[in-house]
Amino acid sequence: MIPSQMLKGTLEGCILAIISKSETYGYEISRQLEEYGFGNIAEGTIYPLLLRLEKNGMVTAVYRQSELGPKRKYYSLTAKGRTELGQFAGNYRELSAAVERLFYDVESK
Amino acid sequence: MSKRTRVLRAENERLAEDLSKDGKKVLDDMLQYIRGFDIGIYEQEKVRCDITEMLLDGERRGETAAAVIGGDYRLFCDSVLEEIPRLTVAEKVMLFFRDFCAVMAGASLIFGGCYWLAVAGQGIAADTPYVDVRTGSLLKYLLIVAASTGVAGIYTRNPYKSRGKEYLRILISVAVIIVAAQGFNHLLRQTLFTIHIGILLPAAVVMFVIYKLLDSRVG
Repeated sequence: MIPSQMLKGTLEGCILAIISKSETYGYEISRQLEEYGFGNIAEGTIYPLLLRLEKNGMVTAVYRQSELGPKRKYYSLTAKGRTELGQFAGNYRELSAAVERLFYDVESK
Repeated sequence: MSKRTRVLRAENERLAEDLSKDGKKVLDDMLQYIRGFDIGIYEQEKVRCDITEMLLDGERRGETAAAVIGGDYRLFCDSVLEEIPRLTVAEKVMLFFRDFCAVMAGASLIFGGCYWLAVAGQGIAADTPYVDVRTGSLLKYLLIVAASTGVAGIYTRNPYKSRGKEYLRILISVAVIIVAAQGFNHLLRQTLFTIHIGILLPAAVVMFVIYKLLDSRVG
C-alpha cells in the first residue's frame, strides 16, 4: 500500500488524469484509482480535492440524476485543468526519471 | 435565509430521511462541526447535499459511513472546510446585526404588546408612560446576542469530544454572561434616549423587517 505522504502532491494530478478520460463522479474516481494500483482511497479523501479543483477552475461540476438513488455530482475537465494536467505530467515524469536514475545508481553499487 | 438556500435545505432534509440511523448520526455530527465555522449557510447546505449523497450512494453499495468517508470524520471535515470560502467581515457584521434585530424585535414585541394589552384592558389614559433606553440595557442585549453566538460556537465545534466538559464550559459561560449583563444594566444607567412605550410595537415590526431583509442577504 502506498503511504499517504507519498500520495500527497500526486493525487490531485492523478484525479485530473482520470477526469480527462471522461466526465465522472467521486466514487468512480476512487474505484479507478484502486484499479490502477493506488490502493483503497476513500471517497472522503477525494471529495475535498475535487472541491479544491473546482474552486481553482480546473474542473466543473454538474448534478445529474443517477439510475437509482440520489443525484450525483459529475466532474469534467476545463481548459485550465488540461493545462494543469499537462504540467503535472511533465513534472512527474521529470521526478520519476530522477528517482529512477538515483536508485539505479545506488542499487548498481 | 434566501430562497435558493431554503429550497436546497428542504431538499437536503428530504434526502437525509433515506439515510440509515448510523448514517444520519454521522451526517449530523459532521454538520454540527461544520456549522461552528464562519461559512455561509448556502455553502453549508451545498456541502451537506454532497455528503448526504455520498453516504446514500455508499449505503446502496452496502458500505458504512466510515468506509465512504474514511475513518476520521473530523479530519474529513477539516479538509472540506479548507476549500470553502469563509464569511467576510461585512457578512459577519450583517449576521450579528441580523441577530440583534431579531432579539430587539422580540423584546419590543413583548414589552409593547404587554403595554397595549394593559391599555385595552385597563383603559389607561392617553398620557402614557415613556421609557428611558439606558446604555446598560442596550449593552445587555448586545452582550446576549454576542454571547449566544459564542456559546453556540462552543457547542457546535465539538461533536467529536466528550460532552461533559463542553456542557461545563457552556454553563460557566452562561453564568458569566448573566452576571456581566446584569452588571451593565445596573451600573451604566446613562439615558441614551427616551421613547414612547406605544412605539415599541411598530418598532418591533421595523426590526423584524430589517431582520428578514438581512437574513435574505446573508443566507
